[in-house]
This record gives sequence, C-alpha cells and structure tokens, in this order.
Amino acid sequence: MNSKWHAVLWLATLFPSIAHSQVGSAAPCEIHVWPSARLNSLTEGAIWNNVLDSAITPHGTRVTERAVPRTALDPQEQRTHLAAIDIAALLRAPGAIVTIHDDVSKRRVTGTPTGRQTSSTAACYRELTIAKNFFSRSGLGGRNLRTLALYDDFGGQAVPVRSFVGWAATQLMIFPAKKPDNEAAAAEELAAAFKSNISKFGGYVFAEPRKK
Amino acid sequence: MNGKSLGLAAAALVAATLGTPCLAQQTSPSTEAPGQAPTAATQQAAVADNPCEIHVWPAERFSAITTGWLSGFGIAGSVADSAGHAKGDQARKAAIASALDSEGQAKALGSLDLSALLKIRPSRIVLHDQPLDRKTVNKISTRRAESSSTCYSELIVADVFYQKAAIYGRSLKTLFIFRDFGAAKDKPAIYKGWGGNGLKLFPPKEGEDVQAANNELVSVFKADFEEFARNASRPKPAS
Repeated sequence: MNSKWHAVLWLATLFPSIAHSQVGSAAPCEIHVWPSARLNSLTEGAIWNNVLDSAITPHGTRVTERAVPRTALDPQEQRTHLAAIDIAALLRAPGAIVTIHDDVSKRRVTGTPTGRQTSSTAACYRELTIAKNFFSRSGLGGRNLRTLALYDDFGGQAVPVRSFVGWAATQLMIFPAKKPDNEAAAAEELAAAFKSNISKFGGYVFAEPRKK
Repeated sequence: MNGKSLGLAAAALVAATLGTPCLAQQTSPSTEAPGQAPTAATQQAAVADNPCEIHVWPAERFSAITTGWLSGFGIAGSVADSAGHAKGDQARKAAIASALDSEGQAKALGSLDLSALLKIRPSRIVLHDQPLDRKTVNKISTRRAESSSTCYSELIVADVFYQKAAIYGRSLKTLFIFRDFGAAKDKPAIYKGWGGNGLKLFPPKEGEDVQAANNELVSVFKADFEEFARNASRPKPAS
C-alpha cells in the first residue's frame, strides 16, 4: 500500500462524511428500458404497396401477403427478449441495475429530448427506449426486421447529456412462416433478429462518429 | 483510490445535493393513449361562435424510390438500379414512417395555422390519430367524420414519398387532399396536390445518429403543406 492510500484511509477515519460520500458515488448506475408498441410493417406486394401495416392488418379479402401475427414482437415479448440481453454490458455500465418497464414509452424520435421518464434521482442514470420495430419486405430487398432505438445518458442531470437515436436491421429468412410447421422457427428467428438489432444498436451508440 | 477519485466523489455529492431532477414526461397533446378507440380525435383551438371545422387525417402510405445513372439505360438499367437500391429504400420508408407516424404528422400539422394557410374561415381543427383506409380516400365523397357542422372541411394526407434522382437530388413529396363541404354532406369541392421540398440531411447512413435527419423530415413535411396550401388557396381561373 502506498502513501496515497494511507492518506485516504486517514482522511476516511477522521472524516466519516468523506467515506460516506465515496460509498454514495459508487452506487450502481440505473438503466431503464422501455419496449415499443407492437410490430409495424411496410411491405411491397402484388396489390398493396407501402401501406403501413398491410402485412399485419387484413384489408378485407384482398390480402395477398403472408400474414404477420398481430402478437409478433408485442411489448410483452420484447420485454422477455430484453431481459435475456446483458443491457448493462451492452451500454458499458457493468453492475448497473436494469429495469425493464411494462408500459410503452412516450419518448418521441423527433424534437428535442426532454427529462427523465421515471422519478429516479440516481446520479448515474440512463434510458434505452425501443421506439419502433418494422417488418420490411420487398421483392428485391428481401425481408428484414428494423429496430429504431433511443439511448439517453443523463449522468446525474435532469436532461440528457447525450442522446443517440439510430436504426439497426437484420435480414429474415423464415419469418413470417409460410406453413404452420414453420411457425416456431419463424418466431425464433424474429426473436434472434430483435436481439441482434439491440446488440448492433449498442455498438452504434459507442462507435466513433464517421468522418464526413 | 487517489485524489482524483476523492474529487469526483465530492463533485457527485454536490451535484446530487443541488441537482433537481426533472420528472416531466414527454407528452403529445395531439394523440390519445394507446388502446383507445381508433376513431378518437383530438380537438384543438376552439374558435368561439364559429361553426367551422377542419378535420385532418394522417397518411398511411410511405414510398421511397432511389434512381441512379443506370436508369438512363433502358429497362435493364432500371431493374439493375432498383435492385441496387432496394434495401436502402426499405430502410428509408421505415425511417419516414417513424419520424412522420400518425402522431408526428398530426403534431406537425397541428402546429400550423391551417385556416390561415388555406385561406378559409377560422376553423376548429380536429386531428384524427388514425389514417383513413388509403383505397377509400378517392372513392368516398361523403363526410368522413360524423359532424353536423355547417362549415365543414377535410384535409387528408394521402401519400408521403421520398425520391432521390441522379440529377435532381433528394426530396420529400407529400400528397394532400383538401375537401370543402360547406354545409353539404356530399360532393365537396376538392383540391388535390403535391407539396415537395429538398432534403439535405436525410437519409442518414446505417449506424448514424438520426435525430437531425428526423427533425429535417418534420420541417420539410410542414414546408410541403405550406406549398400545397399556397396552391390550394390561389384564385382559380374562371373556365
């Protein structure tokens, strides 16, 4: 033990308030996570092109596309997948307390970021908001799951000291299932794509900005 | 632990003591909470002693077309061009549909003085949070909202379209339909037209922060409406 450590120990013994403040500053970070509302779709088919949710919401008898289950990647399912990801490691806050919320966030992807979405006053506070999940399909572009997410690092402040909003995409080969036999594999693939998108997003958050 | 850590701890303590966390959640006055009736509408800025209403519906169709120099080489060139940009156009459509979702469109239009821009009598703005079924927009000629107003009009956002062309660059075009019923229930006076303006930031590259590009989409969408409104309110030549 060197002389600096001795000095710190002496100070801590003499002034318990200093020792207390050190313990306080070592309190774990808080990361709050919100799922998005249900999956949206934008697809190109024989008749209905580029109409929002045409692959999910039936338009009478004119549906020509393979149907996407309405419950696919609903908030409940997203929460299950998010719980399986090491969010603390992904957002480079090892040991952080991760809270996955039940409700869908009202944080918008446009306009200026506002304050914390919870009543927490933690000195190290971050938010990860899943804003949208899109199922995209086109004849030439294939099928993809696209996830739009927001990262807000508040530090100890009331408004974010840093915000990042970005997309991540993963190609799908099975989803949506053509036959009932493929439904389990399709659901598994969609779950893996969602988790992959969250991991990619984590990478984008901390990537060096591209040189223009 | 060293002197620097002590300093940081002290700074954190001061910050925790002095900091006043803001608990406000971001809210939007123009939409209803998820799960509410899809036909629910938000009414805005009531005009006293005035029966006029303008009902506004957002778009549900979002397109993106990117063409390069290959399109100048006939059908084969066009196909190769489309194939080359297919994935990118998928991403751009999703990005536009997110930044300009129903809530985003309603919020953007709700921030404008629609009556003044369209040069109609001051009207109570009713923002609908669910789009109309696109295939019915041109077919149904009666009022789309249950209203008995004697001064009733509708503004329908029909299409939002991103285009990038080799020579003309990037733009966001929006198709609006203005239907003025007056006191009638059917057969309104219709003005349909596009507004289109250039984009400088959108689309961002994959993995980039999209905040600036999203905000640009919203401001260009508003500019598209202003352009449409100028054309719609221009005196029509007598035929």
